[in-house]
Amino acid sequence: MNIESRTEGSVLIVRPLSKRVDASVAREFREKLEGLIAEGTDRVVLDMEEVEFIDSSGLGAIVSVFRRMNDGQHIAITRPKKTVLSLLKLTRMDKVFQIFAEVEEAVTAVTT
Amino acid sequence: MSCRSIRISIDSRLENVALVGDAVNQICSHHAALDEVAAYQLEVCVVEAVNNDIKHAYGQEENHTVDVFVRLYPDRVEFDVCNDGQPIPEDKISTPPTMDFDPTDFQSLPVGGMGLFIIHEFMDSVRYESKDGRNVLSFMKTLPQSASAAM
Repeated sequence: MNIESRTEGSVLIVRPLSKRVDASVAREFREKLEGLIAEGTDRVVLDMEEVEFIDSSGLGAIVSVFRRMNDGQHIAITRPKKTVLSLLKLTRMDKVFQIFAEVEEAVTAVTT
Repeated sequence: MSCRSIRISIDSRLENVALVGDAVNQICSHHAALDEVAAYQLEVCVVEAVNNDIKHAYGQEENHTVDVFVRLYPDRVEFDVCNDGQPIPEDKISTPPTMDFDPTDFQSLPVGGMGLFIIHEFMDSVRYESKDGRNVLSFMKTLPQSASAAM
């Protein structure tokens, strides 16, 4: 799966370009996310604008990468579709990760 | 009560699961008049069940079959997800799954085992039967009245 990434100040903004983040791509997604974060950032915004479907494997990939960062203050998810948001809420991940409607809000939140 | 039904069979490869998911989503949105979120929630339940069959019942081996039966009634939709592999261990079936973790403790966050929890939470009833080598996870969702009226 393709992932777009860019930095804004000290914040890494990661944007999966696939409409589905599921079990068939979860491992590749996790490895790519790990690789980007390993390049040296501790502030990450995950832009989910393109993702229409996520399952527990895709969610698990996100959690496993972010779990290593040890600090929810510097991680945010932005622009999740209503479908994706419903799973984040069901699994209580909305209590773990900050969620924002806009990328800029998320960048500000993890920067301060 | 009238019932429309379809059987979808795939080979046990994770790349095939999206085909089932898309079909279920289309059935739910076009034939049960569910909105985008409700259709997604039923799709993700079926996807989780099929993923579990491929990963756990078949140990991610190819060349096995996963069957999904969808039955659409005016007031509910029922799914059976079937495999001929290893059954789910008794302790995982007898204990309803939970998501007990401390949101502030990152090390306690779950990275797996969420599939059955999702199915139990999004569906109205869930049942599992393992008999004569056939394992069937059945689940049902009552349709909202607005969706029922549209059928």
